[in-house]
Amino acid sequence: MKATTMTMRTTTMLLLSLMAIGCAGPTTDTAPATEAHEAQTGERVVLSADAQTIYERALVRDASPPCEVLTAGITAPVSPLLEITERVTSPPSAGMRAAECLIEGHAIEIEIEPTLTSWVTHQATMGFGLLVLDRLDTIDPALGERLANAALAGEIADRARTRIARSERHHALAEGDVDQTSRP
Amino acid sequence: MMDDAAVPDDDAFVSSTTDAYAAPTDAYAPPGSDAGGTDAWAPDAFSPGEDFAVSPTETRNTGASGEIDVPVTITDQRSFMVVATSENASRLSVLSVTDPSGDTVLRWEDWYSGDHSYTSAIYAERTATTINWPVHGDDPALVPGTYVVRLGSYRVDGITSRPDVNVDVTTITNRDTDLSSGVLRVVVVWADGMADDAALVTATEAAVDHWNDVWSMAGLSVEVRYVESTIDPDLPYPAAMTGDLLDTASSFVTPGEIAVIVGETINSDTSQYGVAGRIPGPVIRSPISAIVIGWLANAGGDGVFSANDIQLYGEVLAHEVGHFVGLFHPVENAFDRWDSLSDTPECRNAFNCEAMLGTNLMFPYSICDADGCVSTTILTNDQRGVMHRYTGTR
Repeated sequence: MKATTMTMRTTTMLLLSLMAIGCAGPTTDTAPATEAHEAQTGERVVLSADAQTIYERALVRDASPPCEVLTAGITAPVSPLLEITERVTSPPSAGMRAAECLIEGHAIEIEIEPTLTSWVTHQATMGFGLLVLDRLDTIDPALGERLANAALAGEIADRARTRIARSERHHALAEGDVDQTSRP
Repeated sequence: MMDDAAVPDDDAFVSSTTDAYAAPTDAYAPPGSDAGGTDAWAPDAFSPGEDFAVSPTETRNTGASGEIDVPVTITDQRSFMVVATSENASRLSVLSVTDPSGDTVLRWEDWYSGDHSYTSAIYAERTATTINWPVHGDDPALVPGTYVVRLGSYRVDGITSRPDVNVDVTTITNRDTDLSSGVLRVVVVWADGMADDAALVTATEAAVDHWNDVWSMAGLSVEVRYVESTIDPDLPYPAAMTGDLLDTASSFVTPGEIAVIVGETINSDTSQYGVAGRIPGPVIRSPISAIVIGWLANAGGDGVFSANDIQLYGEVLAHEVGHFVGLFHPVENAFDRWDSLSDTPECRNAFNCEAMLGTNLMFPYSICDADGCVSTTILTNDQRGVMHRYTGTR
């Protein structure tokens, strides 16, 4: 390969790598308003500015933007991420991407645990709950154990059991073999 | 330009599985074939009268140049596909395609650095690559004679040539010249436990029906069968280095079928609708031969598929498999890169792009408002042409 063509390859490989990790959503400077679809009533909902920004970035198909891209420039992302999970159903992936970012980056924050606990115990939020349970091994172990136990006592217990059984850390809970020494 | 000292040890990236990719078995080789030869493969010699023919897999070495030429003899076929897989972590790419008269009809330099996407075959990003020729209607139709596909092997940076690499090469041809109607054969591979979820199975079947409705407007249909597997339902992202998952999934297919893996989530770090392994993808088993779909992202926070969710799910399937048969987004998210088709407008901002292409099946993002999301079901004539020229379309 000639040096000039290798330089071209270098530049373009970097460009393609950036594309491959997930492009952000549409640029917002000329973007028409995209309106979130209300989760509960089907009515048009107006999201907060930060939530709207995250929502528009989460609309991309194929590769989901990493959480750091979804929340870039937003100093307090927890609240807008929660807002999206609570208020948006269209497209279904938008809420799931927001939930993923909460689990990935903020699960240990004290104000999040009630939400996570609610997700894993209620039928109405089964999708979020299963996502939490699929990510148990990425969550603080003590928190993960509390969530797993809550799920096994909740409305989606049967489904929870199969997910918890796949967890490297917490599978014993699903089998009913609780390690007392692991309790906080 | 990276020197050898800066390039990581390629073999460190080889999967811990010692046989991450196994060449297709002799079941794929017609009786009496010489799988070890280097002569041009003539499909008529092995599959006379067959529309769809798969060559025996040959192992070739890229030698000191780091390149190999793969000859393909054409009589009356309308398209061919070359699938190449490296023996180790070497990255492969297509450098050129030359027609029987010696003219170069595809040259990697013409597309590599431009702002139009043509085929991912020219990028040395994976341990396997595939080229489908012709790509679209602007490409010259096949003529009788011998075509030559030149491949190169590279280190993990995708730039530094890596010589002396063994490459398994398989050639597939299709002589079905009807470009107005066709069928794609698909195998839906359920990840472990997914098939036990009756609601998921029902939703997926309904989504497949919608997918068929969308593609039928392009003169295409999908024939789908379902198989169960023990694949972990937390699926790795297809760009993952090893390709083991895709190779495993594609082990469920017979030549000419493509695999769609339905798991619960994709990759431990992301929540994704679905991703295609490559654009286009191979119609035989390989480390890049599958599409992965995460059902949870398609159902949403309640974990239940509404009618709208099923419609979107069907369009996800149609979109991702659209990539697999060779379609790029008509415009990318930053509005600064386009596909290479003549009839998809080159818009440059969200307002214009959404107005002109927002209902196109391959639009890069969902457009949602108070009433839900815009249905994306439109395919242009050129996009249909790509799909019908895909060697797996019969």
